[in-house]
Amino acid sequence: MVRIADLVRPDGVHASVYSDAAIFRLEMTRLFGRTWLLAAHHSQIPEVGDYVLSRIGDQSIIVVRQTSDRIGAFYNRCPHRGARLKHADSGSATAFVCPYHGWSFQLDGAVRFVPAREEYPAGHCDGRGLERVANVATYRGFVFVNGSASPSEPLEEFLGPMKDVIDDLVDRAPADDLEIAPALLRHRYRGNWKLTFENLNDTIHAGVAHAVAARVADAIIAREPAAAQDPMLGLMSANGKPVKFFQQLRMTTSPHGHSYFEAHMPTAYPPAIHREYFETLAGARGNAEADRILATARHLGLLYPGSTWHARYQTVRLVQPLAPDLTEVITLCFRLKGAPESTMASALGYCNGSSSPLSSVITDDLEIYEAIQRNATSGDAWLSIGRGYRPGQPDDRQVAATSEAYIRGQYAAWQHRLQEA
Amino acid sequence: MQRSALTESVREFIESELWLLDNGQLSEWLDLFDPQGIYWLPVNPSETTPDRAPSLVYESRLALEARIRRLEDSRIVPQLPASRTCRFLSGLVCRALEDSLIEARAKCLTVEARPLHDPADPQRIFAGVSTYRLVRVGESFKIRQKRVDLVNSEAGLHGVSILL
Repeated sequence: MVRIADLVRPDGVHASVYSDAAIFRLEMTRLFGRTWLLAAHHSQIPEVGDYVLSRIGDQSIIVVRQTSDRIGAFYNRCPHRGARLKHADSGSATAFVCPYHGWSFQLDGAVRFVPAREEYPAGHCDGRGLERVANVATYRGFVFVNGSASPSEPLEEFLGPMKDVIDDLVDRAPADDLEIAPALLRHRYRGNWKLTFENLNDTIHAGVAHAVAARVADAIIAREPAAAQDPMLGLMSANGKPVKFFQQLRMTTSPHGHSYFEAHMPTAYPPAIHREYFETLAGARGNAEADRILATARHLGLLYPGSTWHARYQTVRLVQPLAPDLTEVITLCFRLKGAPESTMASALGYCNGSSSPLSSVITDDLEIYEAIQRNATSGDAWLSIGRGYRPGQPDDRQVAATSEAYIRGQYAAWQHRLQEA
Repeated sequence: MQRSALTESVREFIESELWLLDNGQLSEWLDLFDPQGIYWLPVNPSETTPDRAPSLVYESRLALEARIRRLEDSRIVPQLPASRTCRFLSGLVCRALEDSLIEARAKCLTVEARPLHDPADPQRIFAGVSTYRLVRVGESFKIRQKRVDLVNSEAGLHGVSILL
């Protein structure tokens, strides 16, 4: 049996945390299985019977609108022989019918029909409804699930300061609601899920791993200044800032492994978009509130261990572990209800550039994750998470954005969860 | 121009385009696009606009230039070692649109390998339909838009650092 305490030091982590199958199983049951995970957005399932597939760790779940004001979630597994009930990513159902033997279940999970039911002993089928995901809760239209019957804290306490990041996204919609775009982006890599969480708020890697992307974008912007408005070029260029710039930004970490830092990409809209957008937002929320919302400048919020959030660019990513060495990242882009359509174009540019498997930025990261994974599988190495660490002292909650305090915070949460029997 | 003659000249143009990509002549490939040129890989094959939902790629000429310049740099990690590719074209159909634009659709197949990369990283195949909007320029064409609908556009793809 692995001893979790032996794998993490204050300033280091053993590489087997990325590759060991036993650790991965523990992560699935004790971390992903017992924490709040973003599963869906209410706009994906507007009508009763609408469902969307999501995941708790490596397990498929069905998130379904059971009544106009009730959303539930079930493991996507027939209690009879374990077949998948739903194969399509989303759809609408009046009941869940298993494609194997035809057992069927109501939207509340109760058994509705069993073929040849008379052949079972009395009562055998009655209690065999769909296995319910223990807890479902929503925050501002986002549906979170928790596989634990007794979560260690309620959703909002778990979110903590990350509520501001979600508020920042929904507040930007003049109609106070979001609508998911009708396609999702997905990318995969042959590496551990934690590599994404450790990379996304790593400001030092940007100027090295993405140096070429930044240099070529800067050269084009120097020649044609208007190109700076192109979200793809803006994203490529933003990675080239000097270390000193990032050292002056603040990163905020919170219990449970979450973190976010101040914006490093431009958050202001081009003047023409800003004028029109400000008017609609101020019309709905008042001038002062519209000013406050549009001046909020945060870069990625990492909601450990399941999702990452970028309010200004209306983009949320789900990080889904499929195996110790296989991860899928699903990217959701949202339309701000009531806002000018021009805000969507700005969001889509960032979304494509930051999340497509063909991105000129993240293909650098994906290749490096896979190389780390190959080394982690074959070696016996301690890796450093020591940037910004002061020996013997706990990390402050507010640190320079170049500190690896956010990774140390992730491993503190990780160790805590994995050691809970 | 007779319809079959048009198809033949478009076929010649697209085959030479694919040779440029296979040969790594990316700047020459970029020069095939006209100044308003767009390179688009939608997620959803029935998508008619890039304005509603994310795309795998939706790039104007300038963003596409940045993509090309990066791929031309021999230091980027996802091209160490560089991909070798072999592209095929089949089933070309052409039709004239208004404003002297020509639409060409064809089935395309790209095989990619990265020699001496991780042996677990297999040769990959990208198959789909390419739809070109071409502008006639003298005896040849410029690309106003190249759209590629991969058969697995909605799947979680591993990083792709070649042009399709």
